[in-house]
Parts: sequence; C-alpha cells; structure tokens
Amino acid sequence: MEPEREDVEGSGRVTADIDAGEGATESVDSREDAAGARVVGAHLTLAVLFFIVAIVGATMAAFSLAVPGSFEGIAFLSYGRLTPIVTSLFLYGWLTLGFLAAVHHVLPRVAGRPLVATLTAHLSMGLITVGVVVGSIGIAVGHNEGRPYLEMPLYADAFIVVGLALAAFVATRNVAPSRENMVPAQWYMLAATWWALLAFVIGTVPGLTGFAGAMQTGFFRAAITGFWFAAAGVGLIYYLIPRLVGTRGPMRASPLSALGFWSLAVVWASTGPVMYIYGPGPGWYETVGVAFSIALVVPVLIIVADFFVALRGRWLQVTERGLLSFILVGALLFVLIPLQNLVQALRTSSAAVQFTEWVPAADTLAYVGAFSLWLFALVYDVKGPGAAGTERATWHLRFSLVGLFLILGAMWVGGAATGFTWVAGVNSGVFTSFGDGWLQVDNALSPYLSIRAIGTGFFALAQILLLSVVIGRSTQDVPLAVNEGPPLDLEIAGEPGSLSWNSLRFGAVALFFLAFLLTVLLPSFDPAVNDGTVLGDSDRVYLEGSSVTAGRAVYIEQGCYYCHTQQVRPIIPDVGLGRVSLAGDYVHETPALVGVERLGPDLMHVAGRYPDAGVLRSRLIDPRGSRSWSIMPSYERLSDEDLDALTSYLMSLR
Amino acid sequence: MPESFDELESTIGVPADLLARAAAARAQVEGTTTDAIIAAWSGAEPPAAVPAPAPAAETPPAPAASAETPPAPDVSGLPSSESLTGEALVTAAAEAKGIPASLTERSARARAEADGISVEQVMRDWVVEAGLATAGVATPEPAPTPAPTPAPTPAVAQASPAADEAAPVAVEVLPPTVPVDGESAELEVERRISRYPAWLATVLLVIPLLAALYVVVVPNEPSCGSAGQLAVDPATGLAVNCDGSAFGDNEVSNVLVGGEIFAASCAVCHGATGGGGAGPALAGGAVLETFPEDACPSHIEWVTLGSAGWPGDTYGAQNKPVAGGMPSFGRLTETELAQVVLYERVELGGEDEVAAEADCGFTAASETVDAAAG
Repeated sequence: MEPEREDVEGSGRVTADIDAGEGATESVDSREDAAGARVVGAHLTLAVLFFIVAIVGATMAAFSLAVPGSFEGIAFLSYGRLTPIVTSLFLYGWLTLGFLAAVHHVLPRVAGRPLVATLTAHLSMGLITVGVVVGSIGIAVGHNEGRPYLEMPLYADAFIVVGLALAAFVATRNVAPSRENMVPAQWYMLAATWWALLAFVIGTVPGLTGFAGAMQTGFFRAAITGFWFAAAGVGLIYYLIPRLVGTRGPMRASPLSALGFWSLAVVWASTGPVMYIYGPGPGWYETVGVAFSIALVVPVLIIVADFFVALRGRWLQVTERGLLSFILVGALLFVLIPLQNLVQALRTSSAAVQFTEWVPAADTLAYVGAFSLWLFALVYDVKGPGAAGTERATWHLRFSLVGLFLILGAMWVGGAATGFTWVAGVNSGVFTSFGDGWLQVDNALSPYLSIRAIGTGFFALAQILLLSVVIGRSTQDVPLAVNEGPPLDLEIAGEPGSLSWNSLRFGAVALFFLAFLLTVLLPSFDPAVNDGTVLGDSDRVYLEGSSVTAGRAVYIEQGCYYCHTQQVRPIIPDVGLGRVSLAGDYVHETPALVGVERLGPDLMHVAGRYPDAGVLRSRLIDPRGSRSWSIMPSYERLSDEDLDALTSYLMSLR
Repeated sequence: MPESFDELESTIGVPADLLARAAAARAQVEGTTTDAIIAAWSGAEPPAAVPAPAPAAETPPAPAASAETPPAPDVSGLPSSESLTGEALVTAAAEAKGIPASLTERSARARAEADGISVEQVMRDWVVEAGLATAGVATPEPAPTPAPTPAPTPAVAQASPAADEAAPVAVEVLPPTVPVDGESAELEVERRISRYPAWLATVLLVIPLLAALYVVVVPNEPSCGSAGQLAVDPATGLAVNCDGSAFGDNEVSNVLVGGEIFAASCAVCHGATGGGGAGPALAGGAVLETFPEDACPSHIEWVTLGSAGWPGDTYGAQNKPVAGGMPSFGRLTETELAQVVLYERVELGGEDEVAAEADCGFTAASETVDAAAG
C-alpha cells in the first residue's frame, strides 16, 4: 500500500507545512511515525500495568468487605487504605495515561502529521507515572489528603500537574497546524487536556476550608470525570469510528457534533453538588447540581446519537469488526452515566440511594465501564492483535462485561436494599441506624458485597486475556492516515458546526471557570457555609497538638471516611442520628470529612452513643467481639498512642 | 493465505478481513490475482506477467475506466451484478452478507440513505464485494460532465455518487477532492439535512425544558413533606415532623425494638426464638420463673452486669447460682436494655405488655425516641 501512496503523493508529502491550508489536513499520508509510536506504546504499556495492579487491588478491597477481617492486620491492605490507592492508580495511572496515549495517537492521525514534541510527551508521561507511584506509596504509608478522588498527597499531585501541563502543551502543538479546520476529535482532545490540567490545579489548590473544601472536591470529581475522561474518550471514538468502519478521513464537524461538544462543556462540571444532596450545603447549591444533572442527559444523548448516525447503514461492520463492539457497548454504558447520576440527584430517589452502594456504582459505571472499554479498543487498535488476538479480544470483552454487570448489579440492587432498609426501618420505628440496629443493614447488604467481590475477581481474571494479547506485541505503526473508502460524511470546512480556534480556546476555558464559579466559589461565599455559631465553643475545634487533632489525622490516614459519613440529613433515614448537620459545623476542619458512603453508621454525633471512651476503644480493637455481624476491620494493629488519639477524636464528636 | 494477511496486518495496520476484501476487489479491478496484490503490498516484486498496480492518477482520464476493466479470468463465470434485480438481488446480497434477507434489505436501505445512493446499488456492491457477481458490464449512470477545468486528479469520486461505492478500490488511492459542480453540492446539502433523526430534536427541546421546570417548580429550600424531607426543630436541631412533633411519636413499639436488639445481641446464646443454647432457655415463660412479675429492674440489672459483674452468689427468684458466661451488656444504653428485657418478658415470657412496660420503667412510648436520638 505504501508504494502506491508515495506515487500519488510524489514529492508533495506534507511536511509540517503550516500554511498548506485545507488540502493539507485531508491529504493521504501513510508515512510511519516511529517516534510517535514509541510515545503511544510507552503510555499504553504503563497504563495497562497500572490498570492490572489497580484491578487486583480492587478485588482485594471488595474481598475484604465480603469476608470481614481479611487483610486487616496489614496496614496498606486494609480497606481504608487500599480503596484510595486503587482509585488513584485507576484514575491517574490507567485512565489518565491511557487517554493521553489516545491524544498522542489520534491527533497526529487526524492531522496527517507525525507527532511533534515527542520528548515533552515522554517527559509528561514520566512525571505522571512518578506522581502516581509516589502518591500511591504515600497513601499506603498514611499520607492521605482526606478528600475523595484527591487522596494523593500534595507533593505527588505536583508531579501530575506538571505532567498534565506538558501533555496539554503537546496536544496544542499537534493541533495547531490545522487549527483553522478542526474536526470533533481535535476539539474534544485538545479541550480535554486543558481541562484535565485546570481541574487538577483548581481541585488541589489549598485554601478552601470547611464545607467549601468539600464543594471543591465535588467540583473536581465532576470535572475530572466529564471534562477529562469523558471528553477524551468521546474524542477517541470520533477518531475510531471512521477508522474501524474503513471510511476515508476523520469524522467532520457538523452542527450536531458542535452542539454535543458545547453542551458537554456547559453541563458536566456543574453536576458536582450531586455528592451532597440533602447535605449541609445551601439549598440553592444542591438545586444547581440537580438541574445540571437533568441537563446532563442532553450532551450524552447528542454525542451518542452522532456516533450512531455515523454508523447508520454500516451496522453489519459491528459484527465484522470486533473493536466496534467495544465502542458500542461503551457508548451504551456512557448513556447510562447521566441516568445513574439522575437517580442520585433527584431528591426523591436520593433520599433512598444516597450513601449506599449506588454512589460507588456511579464511578464503576463510568470508569470501569464506558471509559475502560473505550481504552481497550484503543489498546487493541494500536497493538494490532492479529486474527487470533481479535478472537481473544472478543472473549475479553464478553468476560469483562460479565464481571462488570455482576459488580454493577450487586451495587445497584444492594444499594437499593440498603436504602429501603433505612427508610422502611425508620418508618416502622424498630430501626436505629447505628448500634445493634445496623444489623439489618448488614443483613440486607452482605450477599451483595459477596457478589460484588466475585464480580470484581471475575473482571480481574478477564484481564488475563487483555495481557495475553498485549504482552509481547510491539506497537504497530498505524499509518498516519489509514482511512480508505468514501468519506464518512461530506461536511466541509466553513460549514455550520465547525469551531474556530478562538471559540474553542476561550469557550472551553470560560465554561470551566463558569462551573467553578457556580458550584464552588459562589456557594463558598454563602453566609451559611461560614457560620460557625451553630457549634458550641468547644465542638469540632482542632487545636494544634491536641489529642483530638491527632486522632482526626489517624481517622483520615486509616481511611475511616470511606465507610462512615459525618453528616446528618433532615430526612427520614437519618432520624435518630442526632442534630441535623449544617455547613457551619465544619468551619474548623479542612478537609471536611462529610463522607461519601455508609458501610457503617454515621459518626457525626457518635460520642453520645457510647457510655465512655473505653467501650468505644474496645470496639475499635475488636469490632466483632460484641457484634459478630460487623464488617468493620479491627484496628488492633494501631499503636496505643494512635488508638487513644482516635478514641478521643471520636469521643469529641458530640 | 491467512499468514500473509497477518504479516500484512501488522505492517500496514489494517485488519486482516478488510485486507482480504480490499485485495480481492483490487485484483478484480486490475485483472490480476489476489496473491499478486498481496505480494505487491508485502513489498515483494509482483509476478512479472501481472501489470504493475497502476495508480489512478496515471490511468487515462475516463472516470469510470477502472470500474470497466474486464473482469479477471477467475471470476468470469459469475453473473454480472447488473443482471440481478428484485428478489434475486436481495437473496444474493443476503448470501453475500450471511444474514437473513429481511435484515439485508433494511440494512441496505439505511446504508443507501446514508450514502445517498440507490438501495439496489448498495446491494449490488455487496454482492460484488463478496465475489458472487462481477461489477462490470454496465456502469449504472452515464458519467456526468467532467469538471470544467482539467483537474489534476480525476473527479471520479464525486462525479458519480454511485462510483463511490462501486469502485471503492479506485477511490482508495485518490486524495479526496472538493466537489466542484453544483449537482453534487446540492446532493450534499440534502444529505446533511437528512443525517439527523427527528426524535433527537424533540429530546433536545424537552430535556432542557424539564431541567428549567425543575428549577422553577422545586423551591430552592426543598419544602418539608416532599421527598422524605423533614423539618428541623430550631431548638434542638433534630429532624422532626413537619408540624414540629417528634418523628415517629406514635409508631415506636418498645417490644419490637427490643426484638431487634435481642436478635443482634442475645440470640447467639439464647436461641433466635429464646429456646436456649449456650445460655438457658427463655421462651415458654421460663424467663418469668427466674424474674417474675415486678422483678423487671432486677432483670435489667442482671443483663447489664452479667455474671462476672453480679454482686451476689445467686440471682433471680429461684436463687440460681451465678455461673456460666452471661456477658455484660453495659454497652447498651439504658433504654436499649429496658427494651430488650421488655421483649424477653412480653414476647418470650408471655407477660402482659402494659404491665411489663410499667414495671420496666416505660411511662410512654415516646420516651424511647428521644433517648435513642441522644
């Protein structure tokens, strides 16, 4: 094929001729891009390694919930430490490096030019890798920042921020030559790298205290999910669909794709408040989150519709080309993301599912479901599995899906069972959502925790197939422009739907800050958020050097906040937990340990439930001594000093 | 020749099945064998007898020339795709794709709509691709007027919409060209409009409306009584009913709560139904023999202290010796202790509930909620 191409192109090979104009972006160029292939190959190898480690860790974490007490003697394998390590490896090792591989792979191929700034790309990869490794070790030895999704210590985040900045630079360099005639894959990938950098900087920047810090965390979670992983993933699919169906050239701009891009940019990052429905924040802050969560259905539907429209009349190829099915199943899971989010967001359903397994199910659906499947497609496309490998890839998809749906099913059903136990139990008057009453919750949940563990193990085993295809196969040189056949659509530049360089640049950045303004900055100036008068003088105050402060640090580094919330909501399931929490309750603490899920009871006013500190301390050492059904790990391994500090912290929560 | 495909696949980066089809089509167009094409692509010298692959740029300018190249000998026995019509065409296309005829028709229709060519043409292409018929004989439409100025590249791709699909291999080596004549530009506009399903527009209108409606209808501070929402008592900060009364005032049954505590803490030794086990049986009135009516306080004390903490040598009305491992349940609150004892006395012992409540210190059911909440 190459000789022919050379003949056609003759000496008119497109070198990095910036002024070549429209024709340049469309020219067929099959030159190899060896330097670029090395960048992509290295990114993918590291990403897959992180993925395998993360998924093994996730299996162990799920197992330690299903069989309480397993691994509890080994600090870094305890649930509270393994969970943040797994999250960091998965989000910043696997997904981030994987999608950066996608960016460095796709942008040159869409533009028809070899990857430029390859050294910077390698450097960025190295820094992010160091950041993730250092961060995970940091968490393992107890340096947890106490914020979900941002647990890695700040010194590790610094590496990642610089790495993302370099990656954004590389992406910009590789889009710049064709910036007057960009296609959707370029919009999404370019904006995604900028957004990832912004999200990390804005998300980790210290300074927001109390509940404002919790709102910052919520914003970060929404931004990194929608503005980095989802945006980069969608960009990847805009490239992969025409490649896999064998049409010429990338998918071009159309009014529909432009609408999809801008609506994603307007909506997704503002869905952060969903983490705190009925929480301590201002009511209007929650309503913003709810409204944007309803609206989130729009960009997702538009984007997926655009994919499907492109495939119209080419459905047969889905059966012929194995990789297309990864993309399509991923796209279907992608559609479920806003629906899942909506159940958590709407107040009626939120009252039942908030703090249950529904909350981590949302992340599993997005990160392990849609985004991972899309990345698998990239891995297979780049590594070129061959005929036998394609067969194995198909089985990899099938087994992974079985595992995934076991996990998701267990989380959805188990979460709903928990939620209804709370509501129905409190209504019947025989239930207390702490102490011995918690038995009912555990009884309702425990079979599902087992299924979840089995599903996670199954999913992990399925990845052996991925490894068997990937290991030993060097990155193949995907020619810079491999698409053949007729163009997928005939939209031409300058038609409605194409984005100018400036509107993309300013629009993407402006919309990011708009969401930040709406869901972090403005609510953090709400008087209620900073009103510490709701507390007694001595309540929830953390003086330097006091044992209560030391205990709070132990609480964070042991990851207690993954299973215990510290917020009482004004709704039926929380009756009996004590005074309803207000944003002002957290003014003296950074980060605010509001929590995300209740695998154990709420601890906002835990001190009042114990006659004295000794009883509570014995409960930490031997949780199953008096409550055989408890799934809490034992903290016998802590030093006496730490145990005393933790006890005095918990006894200070009145 | 699966091996050579695999090799090619890794060097060129195109899936093997696609390669096979491309090579077959190419061979047909150039009048050579598939092996020769594969050999050429692999970088080997093509067999001498076979004409070197002619890039389209060098072929004579007749737009449809490549499609009209005489069929290769090995396919000469096949019918021309043009001779297939109606049912026969659908059947052949179904065979080519290996799927039921009904599906084939639907799929062809959708494809035709997407690419702006006729349904028959789509099916014919499929038949040709699968090698069940030859492409040749008749190019469907007469070639339209060539572009007014001599274009450096043949305008074959755009000149005839059908050629797009009819000769995919010829298109493959051409750089895309921007359509120049008005006819195809018109066609494009048509195509662009038809790309979007109508339902999408509806969804795009309805969902933002719903979101806006939600913001308007649901007040910023969600009101009490909706969606499980309770009021907050300004004095205590506790969640209460909307009228300010304590939540669940009239619904709490101390015996039921006690049953929960019993199941969690006592059933291990005394049996789920009080039938006994490691500890003595409580059911069937047994518990009342040890702690008869009016002895509830002493019953509570026994459960609170356990055998280890019990001050005397015997306990209960029958002066049973203090032995065994009755644990202390001091970890329970006073209310919880009273509730579990109440359960044992009423449900297992058969004592009258009102009398037992009075004996165990419950004056009104509402007390329990306050105690539990504290």
